[in-house]
Amino acid sequence: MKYNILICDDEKDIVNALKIYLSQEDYILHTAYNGRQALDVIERENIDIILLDIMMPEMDGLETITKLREHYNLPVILLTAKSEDTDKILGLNLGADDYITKPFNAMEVIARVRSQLRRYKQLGGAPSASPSTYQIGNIMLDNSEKTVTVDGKAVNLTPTEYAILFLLMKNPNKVFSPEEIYVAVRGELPYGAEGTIAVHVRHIREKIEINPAEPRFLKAVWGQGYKLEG
Amino acid sequence: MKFTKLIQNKPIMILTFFVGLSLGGANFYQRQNLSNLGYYRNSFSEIYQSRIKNLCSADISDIQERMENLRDNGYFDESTSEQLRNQLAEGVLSDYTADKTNFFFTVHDMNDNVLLSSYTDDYQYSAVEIYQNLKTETVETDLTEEEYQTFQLPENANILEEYEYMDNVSFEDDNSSGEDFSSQQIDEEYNAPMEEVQQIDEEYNAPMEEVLNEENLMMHHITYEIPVSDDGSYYVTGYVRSEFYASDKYSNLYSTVQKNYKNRYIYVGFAILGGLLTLFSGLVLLARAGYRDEFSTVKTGFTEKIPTDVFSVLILCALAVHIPLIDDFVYMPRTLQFMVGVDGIGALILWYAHSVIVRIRAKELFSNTFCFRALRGIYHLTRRTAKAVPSMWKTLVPIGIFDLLNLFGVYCIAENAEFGLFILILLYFLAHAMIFGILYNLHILEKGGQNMADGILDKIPEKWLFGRFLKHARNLNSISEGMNKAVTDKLKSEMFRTELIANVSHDIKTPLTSIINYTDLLSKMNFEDKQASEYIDVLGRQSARLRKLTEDVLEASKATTGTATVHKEKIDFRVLIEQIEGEFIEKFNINHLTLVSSVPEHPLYIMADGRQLWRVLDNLFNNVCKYAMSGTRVYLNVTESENEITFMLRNISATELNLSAEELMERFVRGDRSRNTEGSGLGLSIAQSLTALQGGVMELQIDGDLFKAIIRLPQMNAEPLSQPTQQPTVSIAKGCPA
Repeated sequence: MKYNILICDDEKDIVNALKIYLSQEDYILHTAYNGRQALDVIERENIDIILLDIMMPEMDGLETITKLREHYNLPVILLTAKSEDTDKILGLNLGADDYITKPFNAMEVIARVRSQLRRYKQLGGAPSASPSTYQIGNIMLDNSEKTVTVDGKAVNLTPTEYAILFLLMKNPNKVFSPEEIYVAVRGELPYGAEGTIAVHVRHIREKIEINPAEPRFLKAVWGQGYKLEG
Repeated sequence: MKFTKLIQNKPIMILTFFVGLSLGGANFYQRQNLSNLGYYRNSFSEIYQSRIKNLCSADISDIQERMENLRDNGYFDESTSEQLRNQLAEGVLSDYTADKTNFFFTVHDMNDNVLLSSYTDDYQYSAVEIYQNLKTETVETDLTEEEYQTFQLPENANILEEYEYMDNVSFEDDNSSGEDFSSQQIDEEYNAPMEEVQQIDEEYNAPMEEVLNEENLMMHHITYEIPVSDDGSYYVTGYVRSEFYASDKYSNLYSTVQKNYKNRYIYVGFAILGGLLTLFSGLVLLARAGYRDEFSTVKTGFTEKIPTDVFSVLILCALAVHIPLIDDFVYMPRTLQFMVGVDGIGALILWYAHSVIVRIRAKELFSNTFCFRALRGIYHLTRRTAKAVPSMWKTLVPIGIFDLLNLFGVYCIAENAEFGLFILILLYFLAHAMIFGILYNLHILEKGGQNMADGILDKIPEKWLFGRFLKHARNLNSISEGMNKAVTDKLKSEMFRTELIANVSHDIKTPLTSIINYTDLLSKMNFEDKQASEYIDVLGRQSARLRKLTEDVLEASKATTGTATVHKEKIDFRVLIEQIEGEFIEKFNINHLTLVSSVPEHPLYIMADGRQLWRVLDNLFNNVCKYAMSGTRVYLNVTESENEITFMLRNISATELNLSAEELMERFVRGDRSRNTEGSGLGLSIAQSLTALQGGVMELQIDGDLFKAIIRLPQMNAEPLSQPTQQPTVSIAKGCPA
């Protein structure tokens, strides 16, 4: 099935570049150059996901989201030069599903688009039936099988990494200090712990996050510990 | 020329002054003294006669007294035994031996029989023996001829002169018949040749009277009558030897008189000389007073710092101390004391005259007086008060009315009017109310002022203030308003600046996105030309750098202007270190760096924004990865003291650090001046600003190739650390190449 993607940015060059990248992935591409055009396209076409710039003439991205969310449930990824925390928070609160700052890495954009589509179309947000299964975002952990999948793809974790992730998945949004994590997973740690908890956490992040430098889920709370944001 | 130089030499002139003054003073005093003694009116003989008479009279009266004693003890009685008489006589004579005094005496009765005499030619003879010899009318001498000769007076022109002089002078008292000596006689005797010794010998054997007449050189002869009984008296005759054997008051007197007489005009001469010297040197000194080398500029000295009138009084006091020295002789030898006194007075007068002349020349004789200064001070004070009065009349008039009412009340009470008491009570309450009001107003103003000083720019409530307090409060309020406005404006402009930078960076980011993406697209294409892909690599690298730079500029701007919001929470610095180590351990391994860390075992709680602090450490660790020499160790130390936690990161720089720590912390400065490596040069500046936002201090130290980054953070409940005063001087607006 081919998904309809709307790319909305007032900068034609960026729209074109995104088109080039996304066309490699077998999507049907639509373009708009301001919010109003985007809303028109959404009304006309059956759009599955929208990449939306914030600073645009006529109608900006934030206004577009607000209008959009009145009728539509489709995933919205904000793609903007505004990199302030406040901008991100505002955008996400208004109903955006993801937030990518310019200048972006095209590969990351593709990965995030894919992730959002999978979540929207395939996983559908249905709660897991099994009590031994935990899901946060696109990460799924099945404790009975001791497997972790991200966007349905299996991820290879070491026993220590698995133990840490399991602890965090069981208690989403709770901050664990490295010491607490250490105590909880001690049995799993290799003797003479070459890597500290921080190293393990980083390794997990590299395996489950699209952009490990800006993690969506496994976040470091600097000076306190780590948490899994869900 | 030499003379001119000499008189220009101040010390020498001062010395001359004092020498002249001392000389003149001493000699003047001597001359005055001698004048009083008659040296300038009378001849030597007159002076000598008058003065020796006094001494002689004293001795004779002593003898007289002793003779009266002897008489009372029965010396002249027939019944008295020889032994007792000898004893009595010895008592008198022992005090008048020739070795003690140059005075001698004889006592004889009305028939001129000598009864007692202290005369002796050989002062070794005891007086008693002589007496006995005289009694038996024989004088035995055991002197050898030679000794006798020696004993004879040496020939002396002086003495001869004296004889001559004495010849012409009558030494006798009026009531005594003295013996006359002819100069011829004396001459003969003294010039007697050796052959005449025998003759002299004979003369010594002569009766006492004769000996006295011829042999002894009587200089003074006073006869006193001592009444013994009704029928008879005895006479005492006193003599002074012409030749002094003993050193006594007579010899002293003689030499003194002689000296003085000889020198009597020398004193005058020296006095005049001294006076001239004094006058000359004094005038020279005064003429040059106030001038140094040339006669153009007047320089005041130390003395001129003392006000003229105070100085005058001081000089007068000093003079008052000195004047008794030349008036009341009790302190020292008279001449010396007079000299000291004259010197002192002269010095004071010279000093005063000198100072006065200098003051006149410096035109400050009157301006530099205490009185003048005091008057001027009073004048200025009065003028200032007079100027201030218009603004003070509001205060003075109520006080005046209050005082008048008060007086009126007291008067009423004195007149026994109840009304007066009422007035006074009313005034009492009024005064208290006023004082309370004023104190309250003052308190309000004080509090407001303190608030302003502390930076709290609240308005001072004007509700209960009155009069000039209200005016003052309004002034303060307008000041605080102005300050408030300034602060707000500053804040606004800073916000505006940050916003501007944010907008600019957004605007840069959009084209940058295209550049990065199309470069990426290009890199995926196949080019025939191998160089094309090389160029694309450069594009990719440089666009990535531009991206980093854009982000850093924005962040630096936020961090330094303080517009970055700080969410402080309780964090464990130890955990942060562990996390950052975890992030970087592999990057370190790739760069062949070994991290050696030493962190306390227990939690180190601080209040800070974890993300910002992480950014600080991230920058420092990134720096280490970029600039540390491969294969070296990197040392991380965390220590804690009572109030702060100190983090220190040390590494060996791969390249030579040819910059100072301060320069490194400035924006757009990088460890290598050539800027070959990636990075914006803002990392350390951002780190420093962010550390400051956490209430901490970041400093860099460079010791050769050893690079040290030190971060000090306040412990959880401690005060923020004081920031070093030196701030980065390059501002974003100026330093940003865009």
